Amino acid sequence: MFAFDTLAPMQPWSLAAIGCFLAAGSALLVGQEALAESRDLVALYWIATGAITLRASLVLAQKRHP
Amino acid sequence: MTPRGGGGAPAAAGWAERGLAWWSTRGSASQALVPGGYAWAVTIAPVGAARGAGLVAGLATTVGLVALVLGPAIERRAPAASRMLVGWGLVVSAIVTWSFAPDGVVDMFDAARGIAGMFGWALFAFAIASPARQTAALIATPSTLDAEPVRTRHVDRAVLLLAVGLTVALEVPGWRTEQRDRALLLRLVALAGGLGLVTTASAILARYHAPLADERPAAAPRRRLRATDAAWVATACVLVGAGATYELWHP
Repeated sequence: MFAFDTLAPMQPWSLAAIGCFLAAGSALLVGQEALAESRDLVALYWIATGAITLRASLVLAQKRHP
Repeated sequence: MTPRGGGGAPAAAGWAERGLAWWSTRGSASQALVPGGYAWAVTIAPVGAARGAGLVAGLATTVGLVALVLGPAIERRAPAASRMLVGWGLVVSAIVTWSFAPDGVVDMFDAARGIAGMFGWALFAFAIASPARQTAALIATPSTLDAEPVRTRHVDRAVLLLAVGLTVALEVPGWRTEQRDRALLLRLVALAGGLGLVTTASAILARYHAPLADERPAAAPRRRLRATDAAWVATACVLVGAGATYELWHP
């Protein structure tokens, strides 16, 4: 209920930005785990994905709901 | 005759309030001085000043401290440059110092010192990444706090907790790895990723609260995505979806 009450009144762009932010953090975490397990190519993929998703999150955060 | 003790407490409170007000009007570089100094003292200085650390590591350690102090000094004349100097000066100093440190020095870092350094860097990242030019407009005065719905403060806390939690979680794999070079690489990636996460969280919250700080129509952001912005979002969605599919089907 707390999550619904908090997130429901938010603007869609902000929600999308937070969703992208969460995805970016998860991608970076998966990349770190892969790097620790010496799966270097997978780690590179996920870290690059995290960086691009962070950029997408910033782009979405700049928008304003009408 | 006024007793000396009678006016002491209000005077001290006045000094404290004025000091706090002065500090809150400074930019990111000044506000990052204390957490940056803490991170430098816990994670960089012991490595650079250790026996056998070498000239390059010692020089990089000194450069980090100089950048940390020089940034606030030039902040009024060049705020953007001072922020870059402090943020990237300390990060580059850490990278060079740790890269040129001998094996024994890196191994002396125990878990307690590692956690202390992790919190120091997280605090520094938050201080240097916060949008300082909007800080004065967003200072929580009683009137703005009363006018702002409680749920927006919940959003602030949730997003900041998420950012800090992810930043701390990024550090964990580095402490489980035995190989020195890989552990160093993991910490550097965690450092860069943590800075990016905290910067993005600050930007999201700054834009979320933008109507409180700036009501000018000219400053209002666009409501539609441009083609390049849509390309960023689409690329991110495709990459995340493809990666998740790969991880699920090829464990």
